[in-house]
Amino acid sequence: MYNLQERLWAEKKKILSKELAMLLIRLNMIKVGDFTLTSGKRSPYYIDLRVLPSYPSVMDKIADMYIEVIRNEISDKQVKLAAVPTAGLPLATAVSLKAKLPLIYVRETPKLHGHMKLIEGILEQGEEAVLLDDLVTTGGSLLRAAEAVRNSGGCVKHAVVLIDREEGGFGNLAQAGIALHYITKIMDVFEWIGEASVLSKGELKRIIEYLEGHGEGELQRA
Amino acid sequence: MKEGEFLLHMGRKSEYYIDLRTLPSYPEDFDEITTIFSRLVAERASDVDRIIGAAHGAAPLTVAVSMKLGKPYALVRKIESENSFRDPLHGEVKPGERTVLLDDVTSSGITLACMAAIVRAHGGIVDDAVVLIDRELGAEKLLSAFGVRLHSLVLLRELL
Repeated sequence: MYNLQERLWAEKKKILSKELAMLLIRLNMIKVGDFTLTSGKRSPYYIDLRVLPSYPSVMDKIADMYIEVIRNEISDKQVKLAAVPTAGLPLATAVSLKAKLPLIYVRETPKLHGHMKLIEGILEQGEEAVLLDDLVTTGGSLLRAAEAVRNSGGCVKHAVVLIDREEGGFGNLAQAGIALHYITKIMDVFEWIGEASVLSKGELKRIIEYLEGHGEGELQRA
Repeated sequence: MKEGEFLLHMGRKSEYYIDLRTLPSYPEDFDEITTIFSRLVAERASDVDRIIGAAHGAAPLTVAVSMKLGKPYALVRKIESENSFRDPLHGEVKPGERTVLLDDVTSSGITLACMAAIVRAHGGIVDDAVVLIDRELGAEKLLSAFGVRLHSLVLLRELL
């Protein structure tokens, strides 16, 4: 016997994944070329979400996508959101407003004035918070944020992002006891892009090879 | 609001530390306050193309106003040092765009004045700044010297 609700969600998620991929293409948020990421790593593609603030209706739509993932994969009850600096904060605010979920945020660096603390907002001892960020690559910033929440007395079991760049983040987070939830995986985005014939075959092949080279495919997820 | 002695910007000491950063932890209140604030922004700065918020403290407020008014936003980060090469603007400002500056609290107005300069350097037009709370420590005067009118939802003394 299969769970109907899970099946429905799997179908719905495929639609969300495609919708997101189309949004990324339409707003030119996926750049193909030679990039150096903040980590210093080279990458044949780059996800540029800097134009997002210019499109409030897209922010709204993306907030709905996060809400769907949270409701279907994490909890349909009240959950506290913890925004990861700095890109996670605007997105988490949009989600918090639309779903009426309480929000805290992890400070980028402990400030020198006012209260010295790692997070802003109300967090009770032992309370669970769901981390929210835009992207995950290897999981470094999510892990640092999880540490800040845990060191502040909170508990972290889930993280939600728009796109999993599939470069080890899923596994690294799992090791820290954190389940990663995403709206789409980068491999799926490029599959949609392939179908839509937006990139040349050569460009697409180069990216797929790069992604496969990172070895975090379906096997680890199964 | 938390009482006590806290070291504010510029090393100025204050008995009151206004903690608006906890507001988003109360989604109903956050929604209500940002709805009222959005109305004030729309009234005082009608016909703006973009909302500019002070990062990262006022990011939630800015995003809320952006969504409620359906207007694009951008964030301006505080300049940490003169030698910083990072662009303080997060998002875009197009030349000729009419913008309004937002922050949760203003004291001396220096943060907002810097924001005005950065937005203007990107070609944006800045005539107004709107804050939740004006601590009345010189912001209105400083900003008027920069050609920016300051509007606030409340003055600190009205809260005390």
